[in-house]
Amino acid sequence: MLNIKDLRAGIEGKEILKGLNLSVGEGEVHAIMGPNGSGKSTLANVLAGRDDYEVLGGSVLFEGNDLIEMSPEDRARAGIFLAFQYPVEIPGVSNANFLKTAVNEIRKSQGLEPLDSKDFLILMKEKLALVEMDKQMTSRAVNEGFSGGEKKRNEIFQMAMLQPKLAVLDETDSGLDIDALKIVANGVNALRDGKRSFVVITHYQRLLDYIVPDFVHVLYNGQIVKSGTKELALELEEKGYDWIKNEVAV
Amino acid sequence: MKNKVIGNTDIVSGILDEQNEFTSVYSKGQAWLNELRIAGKNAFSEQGVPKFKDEEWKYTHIAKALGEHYHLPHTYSLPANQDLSNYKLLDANTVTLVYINGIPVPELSDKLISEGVTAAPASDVENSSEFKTFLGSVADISNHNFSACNTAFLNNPCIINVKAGVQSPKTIQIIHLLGTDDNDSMCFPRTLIHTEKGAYVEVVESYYSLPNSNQNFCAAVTEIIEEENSHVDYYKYEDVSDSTILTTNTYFKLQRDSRSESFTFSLNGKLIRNDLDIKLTAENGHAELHGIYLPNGQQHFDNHTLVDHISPHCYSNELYKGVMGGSAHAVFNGKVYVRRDAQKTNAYQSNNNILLSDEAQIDTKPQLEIYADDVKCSHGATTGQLDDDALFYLRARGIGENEARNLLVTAFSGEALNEIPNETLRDVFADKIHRKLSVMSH
Ligand SMILES: Nc1ncnc2c1ncn2[C@@H]1O[C@H](COP(=O)(O)OP(=O)(O)OP(=O)(O)O)[C@@H](O)[C@H]1O
Ligand SMILES: [Mg+2]
Repeated sequence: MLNIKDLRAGIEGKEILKGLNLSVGEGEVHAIMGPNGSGKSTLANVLAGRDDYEVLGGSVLFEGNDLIEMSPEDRARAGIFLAFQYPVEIPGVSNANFLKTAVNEIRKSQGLEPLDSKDFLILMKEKLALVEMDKQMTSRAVNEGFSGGEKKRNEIFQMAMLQPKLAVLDETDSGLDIDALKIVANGVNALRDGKRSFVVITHYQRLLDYIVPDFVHVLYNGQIVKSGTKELALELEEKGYDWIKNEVAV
Repeated sequence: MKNKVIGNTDIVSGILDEQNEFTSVYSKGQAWLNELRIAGKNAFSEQGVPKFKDEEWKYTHIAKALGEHYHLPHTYSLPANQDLSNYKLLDANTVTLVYINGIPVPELSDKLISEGVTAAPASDVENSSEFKTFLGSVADISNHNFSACNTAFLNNPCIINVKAGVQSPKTIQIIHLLGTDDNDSMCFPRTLIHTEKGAYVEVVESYYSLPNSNQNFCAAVTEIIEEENSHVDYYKYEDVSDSTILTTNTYFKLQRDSRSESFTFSLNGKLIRNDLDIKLTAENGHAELHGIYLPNGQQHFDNHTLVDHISPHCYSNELYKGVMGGSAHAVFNGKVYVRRDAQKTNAYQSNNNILLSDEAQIDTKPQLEIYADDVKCSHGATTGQLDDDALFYLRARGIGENEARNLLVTAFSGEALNEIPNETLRDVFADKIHRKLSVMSH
């Protein structure tokens, strides 16, 4: 589904991703861990098409199509979703209006009729229940005045509404209490249908108890330096990253 | 009036020449206007067109924009097949009065038949000279060049009067159509709104250029006089062509316990200058003044507002929002005076701007002058760009770039729009904003 080869990317003249390779197959869940500043969010943003980041080399194919040439909206319409590490507050734009616009733009790109208000409300109600979010949150401005946890939950709610093929979750677990963490994990698991794929960026093995990954990778200094299965996450939790840094140095 | 082009290099004497000829034709009509007209002419010949160094016109070089010569238009008729519905902003419950270049067009206008409400050109108003005490009583011809100029051409003003205790069941929309197919025409629409004790009326004054009209200049004046405990909702809607220069002077005088809501919406035009003056002359007056301006390309929109708190216990609240695209230039200058006697004043003012492009420009200057000591006042101005993070966030959810910009700007301007009491107009304006934004360059 997603094939990243030798990806090099940077920002403001600084190279951050330095030849990154990653393949994600249909229905798979990949966890990416790694020290602060190693380039995890950079990877997520490059996948979503943020143009502050410059792609310096390599290739990214999504279902065989060159992603790098596509606008952010076209990537979203093609089925890529990024749950942001820091969701943005957008005063004056209601959550519901925003999502209705998004859902219908994506439907339009698929040649589908727009959802009418009634069907949209039904869909919204169903997905709100999934992340145990109050309906009242949808009439508020996007993320405005939301607590950290509410913002993260709102990201998962949007994901559920938009039904992407590939979701990249950038530290969606950070700042969540244990109950919220379970809710978010349940939300994700409910969307695991054997076809939809996930890239889960996290610092904590705890999340991976709930969202069990097929693969775990370590991103360090702009490269995937180690890959394994869920046991790798346990090992990292126990030993930290120093042993990996040493391995890389050797 | 015959077609005549004056090749005068001096715009002021050119206008005055036209005025002489105009007077010889029109002084036979509404005689009670003669004195005012002469006063206007004298005031204008003294002041002329605002100069570069005039502090009030610092950022709006109108003399340069105006060029050299203007003449009164020779044709007053609407081009064939012109559909008025394009200009009507509201459907039901509205009385429409049509003016072409400041001259009433009875064939196209509705007759208002409503007990206690008058809305008609002076020539159709019985005993119109009774309005002599009001007309010109708040327009400041000694300081406002274009008020003076307008007054010099006073001929057949639109008069709206609501009798004591009457709540006008109809909204009154004045459709001003401007320009002709020959060059450099000028016109001077004039409106008087008077609400007697306890009366209410909603008025929409809208300005459009006639299709295929050439470079033209319009200096409009509106006076609104509210007696005790009366209430006026006043909307100014400006959607003229890129070859129209439009100045408006709008004056409110609020008596005790009266209330005004004004909304100034500058959508399109080559150069627009709005001067809004509100005098709170007696206790417990309440003035809301809000506006949106959206210049694009080479357009230049300037809003000058003055709220004069003369008496105690009055309230004013002002919010203007601007979005500038292309290499447009906007100006906001908001003055609030709180006079020595105006204790317990509440006065709030805010002006927010978004520049869509690097070439767009805003000069904003809030000015608060307070001479009373027991008051609550605040003012603030902000200028920024569209939030890139928000834009990316929306696009990352599949919303196209233009639509995403639209959502953000709509949200921004929505704050001012939400101040509009009339929900239908709010939706109409929201739609106009949406359309304009889709052509604005960033
Ligand atoms: N605008 C910028 N200019 C310069 N450097 C930047 C900029 N944005 C990010 N960086 C740098 O790029 C590097 C990678 O950042 P990134 O956000 O991808 O790390 P991360 O792995 O997500 O870290 P964390 O675990 O803390 O979220 C960091 O060293 C960061 O300081
Ligand atoms: Mg990060």
